[in-house]
Parts: sequence; structure tokens; C-alpha cells
Amino acid sequence: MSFPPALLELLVLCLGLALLLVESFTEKQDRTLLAYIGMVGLGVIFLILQLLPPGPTGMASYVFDPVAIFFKKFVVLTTIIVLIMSVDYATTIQRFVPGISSQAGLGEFFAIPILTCAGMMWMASAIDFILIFVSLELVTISFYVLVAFMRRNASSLEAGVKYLILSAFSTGFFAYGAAWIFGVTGNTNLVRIQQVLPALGAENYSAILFGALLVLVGLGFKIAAAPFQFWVPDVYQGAPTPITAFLSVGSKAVGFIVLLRVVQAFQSLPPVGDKVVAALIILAAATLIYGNLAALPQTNLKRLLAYSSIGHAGYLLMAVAGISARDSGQAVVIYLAAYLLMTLLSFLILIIVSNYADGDEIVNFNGLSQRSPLLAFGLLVAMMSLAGVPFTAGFLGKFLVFKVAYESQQFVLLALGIITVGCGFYYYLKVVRAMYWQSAASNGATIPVSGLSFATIVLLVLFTFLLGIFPQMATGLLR
Amino acid sequence: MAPIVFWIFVILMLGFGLSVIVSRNPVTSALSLVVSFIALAALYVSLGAFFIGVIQILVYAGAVMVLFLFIIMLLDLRVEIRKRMNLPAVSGGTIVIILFIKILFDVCYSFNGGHAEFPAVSVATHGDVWTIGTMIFRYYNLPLQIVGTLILVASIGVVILSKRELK
Amino acid sequence: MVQDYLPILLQVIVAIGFAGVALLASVVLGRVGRRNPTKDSAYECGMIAKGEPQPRFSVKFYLVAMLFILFDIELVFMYPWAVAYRDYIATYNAWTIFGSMFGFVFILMVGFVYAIKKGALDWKR
Repeated sequence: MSFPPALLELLVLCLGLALLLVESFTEKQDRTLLAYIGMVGLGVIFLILQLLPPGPTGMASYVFDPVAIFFKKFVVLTTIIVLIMSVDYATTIQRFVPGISSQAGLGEFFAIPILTCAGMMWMASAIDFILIFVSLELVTISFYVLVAFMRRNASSLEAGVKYLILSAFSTGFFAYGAAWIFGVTGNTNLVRIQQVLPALGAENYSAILFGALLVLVGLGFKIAAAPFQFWVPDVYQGAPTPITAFLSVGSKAVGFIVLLRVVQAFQSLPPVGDKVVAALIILAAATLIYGNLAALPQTNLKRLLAYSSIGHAGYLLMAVAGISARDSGQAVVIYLAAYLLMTLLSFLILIIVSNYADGDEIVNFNGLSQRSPLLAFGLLVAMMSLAGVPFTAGFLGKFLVFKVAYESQQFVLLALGIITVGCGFYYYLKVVRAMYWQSAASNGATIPVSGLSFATIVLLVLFTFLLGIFPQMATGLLR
Repeated sequence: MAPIVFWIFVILMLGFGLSVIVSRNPVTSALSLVVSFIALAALYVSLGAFFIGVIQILVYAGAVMVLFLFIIMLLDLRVEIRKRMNLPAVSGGTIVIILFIKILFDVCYSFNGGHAEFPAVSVATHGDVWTIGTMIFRYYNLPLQIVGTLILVASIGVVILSKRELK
Repeated sequence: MVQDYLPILLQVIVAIGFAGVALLASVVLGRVGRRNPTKDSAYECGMIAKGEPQPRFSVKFYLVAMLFILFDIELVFMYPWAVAYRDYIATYNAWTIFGSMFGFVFILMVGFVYAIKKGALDWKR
């Protein structure tokens, strides 16, 4: 008997539940053990995913195709790295969570991301608006808790409230849009909707388009596309840094898989599908311009990375807007793979350095190359890759996105993309300049790095180069 | 249900909804919301969606509103002081709302009902609660478990964010 | 079905009517006699009224109220489950409906155990 793929999420769920129970019933135990159990458990899930072939699942609302497998691996890997970051970040959490024992709240801080991971894995497979909606809500609600986790820190609480309100608002749009689509087509299943759409009369087009655009607005909030991006900088800056990384990588990636599947479904009805693509082009252009221009004057690295994540959403939207090109889905997948490597790398180093320097301003990175050459080199690679320097993963991603834009003949977007890459070079290299050409302010000692983080940094740097130098590796991501 | 009853409840719902926004005493706002919810529940019942009507009263008008009142008393909110209007924000918001309503009207007028076939909410032998129960447990078992996880995460969040001293 | 809800409508009318009459009566009857500021002030067992008209609650209530709502949502699914159960096991696979609700309640029970162990329902702290 083969392994039913739908069991995977249940295993992740059980892992999360087990960690919670351990957290409830033990008192003396060192809480970081929970994080290690979580990493090992997710590692096992990753291996199972590696072995499982795509195939039918016997469920109408749940698919297990190569794209779903890729995104599942993606979120599992992201969660593992987020847990590694969380261990490094534990001291800051302890400082801002009121508790009787010194490690109060840490167990939950390690367990909730695993439940979030289960939600994201469900989203990766969901092709039914109901399943999409509930798993999206699971992800969002656990982020409400995680973002506001540092209760004694006013900016974390402020971030939590902002995220709560805007996210609830966007969920409303998503649900309203899905209701319109259900009302016209009589289906919540995307595959069925795709089949039913061509048979509909022209009098229904405006209603379908209205529903589709509302869904697009809802998803636009989740993937932080302009003009629905205004929550991003404050929330990203206020949230605990590992959670910021989780938001900007995991949450964005699952937003994109849902977006891909929804946009794909509407392509079966060209009069509506074309307008949806037109809306995507406008979103992409606005996001590219806003994300890259607003990043220019930033002096705080965490905030800079927030704007950069908006900018990257723009490039990803470019690829989705080119859905008529054959490689559109592949470009999104490879861009996201590269994005995972470079973004998590920068956040990991950010956490280590800001723990030590007690601040995440770019000034805190002055002279890092003399103090800790490895960290400086890691961040250098991350910034180069984010900017899109050749022979890094980021370059490959941008190249494929531009190719898709060219093939689908979106020349305006293409030109805009190339110009904004230029902007990107300026603000990413600002960080590099601080590390290599500015002298250290006061404490010039080497920054201590734990063995696990060290290994992770090395691996991430290695894969950033490998993906950039051997692009054929990337095609293996989608078997 | 007779159209007159429909209009009575619509007016009740919208009128008290407006009062939620306009009244400056938070307790008045909260109680207006209760009435608005109850009128909404009556509309659900008039559509034959008895289950949703019951849930609307049980969960929203009952539990959620109690929590609202709780928070108002907890925070000791007074009558709101009238703030200076932020003109660009208000005018921007108004334009967006007017545009949205215009689109909604356009869509509603061009839309003639859709021709999708929907299964009946309640069959002759059983009520709508039965149909909903059978639907959930035949087709939506997985989403149900996800909803369970969602509530679990929310309850952890409640403890984490509002327990005075964590253990 | 709508006719079945007539008693509720009647009850609503009676409730609104009672409240309205009571309010109206106090206004009409209260006008009798002479008024002065002392008479119009709030009456509190002969003491001079002080403090807020709305008492403030302890934050502990909030935690309990939130947990109550979360477990109240559970009811939304249990109600149709209970109604559909008997016909479901006669027609379809009985383990599906049983296992599904079991899983749902089990997941929630983990949250409940967690809340108890963390002392969220412990009033003294």
C-alpha cells in the first residue's frame, strides 16, 4: 500500500500537538529541545516528500501535483530554518514575554510555526475555495499570535494589531469574491470552475470578473502587492525577526501558489481571464515601482528587507502576469526557490548580528568584515543575490521572470523590471558598503555563532551559488 | 416571507448599523450592533437558512457581543472625543466607497441571476441543519480538522497574549 | 417553516412592548411633583454617588471570555453533527462521521489541556 499524501499534513499537525503537550506537561525541561524535536520531525517530513511521487489523491479539493510537492518542500524547509533562527532569537523573546519561569512562552514560540507549516502545506494542495479559505485562515491566525508574541514590546504589539485589522479586512474581500464566483458558477472547486466557465453566457462576465478581482485584492494583501502593501513595513519591523522571515518567505509563497491556481482557472474564459491578467500587470507595475523606490532611503536593515520583499513580490507578479507563456509557473517556482535562499540567509545573519549589537540598523553592520568575515561574506552573497548579480540564484530567478515577460510580450513591465533592478543595486550595496568600507564603531570583537546557524549559513551560501551556476538544477525542482 | 417584513428588518439592520458608527458612546455602539445582528439573523431565517440564523444569534449576538461589551468595560472607554477630520483620508475613503458601490450596482444590474444549479438547502423530510451536517461530514472533513487546528492556535494565542504571568 | 417562528416574533413584540411601556411610564409618572438638583442626582443608599457608572472588570474575565468564545464556536459544528448523525451512519460510512468529530474534538482538547496546565483557568493567579 502506498503512502497517502494527505497524511503528511496530519503528521505535521500531530508533531505540533505533541510539542504543545510536551510544553504543557514538563516544567524543568530546556525548551530549546522542543525546537530541535520540531526540526528533526520536519526533516523526516521533508524526506518523505522527497520520496513521494506525484499522483491522484482521491479527493476533489486536494491535489498532489509537482507544484504542490515543490511548495510543500518549500514551506517545510522554511519552517526548519525559521526554527533555527528562533533558537538564536530565544533570548530576545524571553526578555519581552512576562513569565514565572525564565523560559516561559518559548515552547509555544517553537510549536506554533509547526502548526502554521501544516496550514501552508494544506494551502499548497488546495484547489477548492473552502479548503483554501480555512487553511489561509489557519496561517493568518497563527501569524496574528506570532507577530504580537513579544508582549512587552510596544512595536510588536502595534505590528500585531495592524496585521490583525488589515488581514481580517483582506480576508473579507477574499471571502466576498469567492461567494460571487460560487454564486455564478455554482462551484467552489477551481477545476470545476475552470470547466464550467466557458459555458457561461456573456451576461455573467461582469459578475465573474468582479468576484475574481475581489479574490485578487484579498490575495494582494497576503502577498504584499502594491497598493495593498501599506501594512508591510511596520509589521515586518515590529514582529520578532524569525517571524518576519517566516512572513516574508512562507506566507508570500503560499499566497502565490493560490494566486497561480486561481488565475489559471480563469484562463479558460478569455474575456475575463484577459482582464484578470491586465489587473495583474497593473499590480506588478505598481509593486515594482513602490517596493524599489521606497527602499532607497531606508537605514534600518529589517525595514529595508520589508521593502525588498515588496519589490520581489513585483517580480513574482510579473511572472504570474505572463501566464500565457509556457514557463510562467516554472519561473515563479524558481524565483521563489532563490528568494527562499537569499532572504532566509539575510534574516539569519541579521538575527545573529542584531542580537550582539542590540539593533538592526545598517550602522550596526559597520566594519562587519573585520569582526566576523564569515557573517559579512554570507550577507554579501545574500545582498548580491537579492540584487540579481550573475552567478547567484537571484540572477537566475530574475532572468527567467524577464524571459517570461518577453515571451508574453509585456514590454512595459520588462522595461520597468530592468530599471528597478538598477534601483535594487543601490540599496542592497548600501549594506555591503557598510560591512566592507566603513570602520567598526566600538565593539570590534568577533560575533559568536552557534554551530547549527553556522552550518545553515554555509549551506544557504552554497546553494545560492549552486543554483546560480548550474541552472539545470532548478529544473529538477519540478519533476 | 412578505416583502414588508423583509424591508422592516433591512431598515432595522442598516439603521442600527449606522448607529454603530455614528454614536460616540461605545456601549451604545455595541448594543446597536447586537440589534443589527439580530435583524440580520431574521433576514437569514426569511431566506430559509435557519441554521445560519440560529448561529448568528448564538455566536455573534450572544458570545461575541458579550466579549465586545467586556472589552469596553475593561478598557473603561468613555464617550469618544470628536477628532479633527483628516480631510484627505476622509475624502479618499469616500471616493473609494462610492466607486465600490457604483461597481457593485453595475455588476448587480448586468447580472441576471446566474444559471448555476444549487442543491436545496433543506429537503422535504429534513431541515437545513440536517443537510448542512450531512454535507460537512461527507465532503468537508478535512476543512473541519483545519478549523479545529485554527481554534487550537487561537486558544494558545489567547493564553499567550493575555495571561498575566506565563508559566 | 417560517410560521413556526411566529412565537418568537410574539415574544419579541412582548419584550419590546414591556420595555417601552416601562420607560414611557417612568417618564410620564416621573413628571409629577417638583424637581430640584438633589432629587435628580443618582440615588445610592443615601450616600453621595461617586465613581464611574460602569464598573471596570478585572482582566481575568477577559481570558475566560475569550476561551469561552473559542469553545463556543465548537458548537457550530457539533449541532449539525448531532442532527445528521443517525441518518448518516445508516446511509454512509459510520466511521467517517465519528472519526471526523473525534479528530476535531481531540485537536480542541489539546488546546483545553494546554490552557488548564498553563493555569489559564486558575482564578487565583
